[in-house]
Amino acid sequence: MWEEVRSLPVLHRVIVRILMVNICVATVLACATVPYILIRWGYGFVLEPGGGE
Amino acid sequence: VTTHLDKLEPAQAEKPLRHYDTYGPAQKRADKYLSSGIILTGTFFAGPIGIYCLVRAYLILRNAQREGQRIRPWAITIVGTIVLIDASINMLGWGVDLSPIHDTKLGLTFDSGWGVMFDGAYYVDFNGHTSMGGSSAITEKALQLIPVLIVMPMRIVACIAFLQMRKVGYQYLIITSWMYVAMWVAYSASITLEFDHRLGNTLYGVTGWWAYNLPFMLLWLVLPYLMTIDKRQFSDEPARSFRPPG
Repeated sequence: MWEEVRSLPVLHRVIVRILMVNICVATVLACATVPYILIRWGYGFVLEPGGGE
Repeated sequence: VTTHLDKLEPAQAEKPLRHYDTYGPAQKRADKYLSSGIILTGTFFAGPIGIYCLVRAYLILRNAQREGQRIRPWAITIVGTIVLIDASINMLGWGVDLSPIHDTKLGLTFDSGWGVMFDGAYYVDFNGHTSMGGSSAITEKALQLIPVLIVMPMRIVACIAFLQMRKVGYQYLIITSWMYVAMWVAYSASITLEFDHRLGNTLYGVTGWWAYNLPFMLLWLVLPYLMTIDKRQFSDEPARSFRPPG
């Protein structure tokens, strides 16, 4: 994979590398969001309607 | 021409000639893991299983390449994967708020948690402002209809066809990428115009919003890539062999 990406034209190489990083970040964010909410605020966490303003 | 066609075996005459069909068996096996991984990652809730499937797909393709099998270009796989992950995540995330799922305990937890971190409209006055319920930002409710009902379903279908190296997938990926750019401009404008209510009411503020959304926003980069690649590698279903009547 790395050799193939290295052999691409400059524009494609830069874009594909950024998108590779994006895949890693997006999957980590997708995996971490729900556990983070559950650990930090707990299941059923919600502000009552009309509250907060 | 007729004589030539008659010499062909029926199966050979009907055989599709798309690039995708010329790839080794590992490609199709890897694509099953890739699709499953993308769908699971896109659900937010089954992400870790999705990561396992994505890694497995990568290993299958890497080993197939080492064995000398023909596989799809890696750049196409990478572009297709990130676009599909993003489309699944956005469709589910916004779909939860658009549909009555936002009234379930899981939906409330997810939306409120997201809201307190990045968008106050999902937290303050949640379910209490618009006739559709969910987010209390009216512009957000209007904007949700576009990705959930139009852009993301189109993008998912386009991306699957793109990964199968079909021309229609390539063309529709360009169309939906422009839609995606327009959608992000509208969304960013919407959240900024209601700054006090939305970004002002969050834990991580503007910096957190940009940090979380930048990986998804950067997908506009798919457009210059698509515009400059060799389009000949994408082909539609081959036409059936012509046989004169009688």
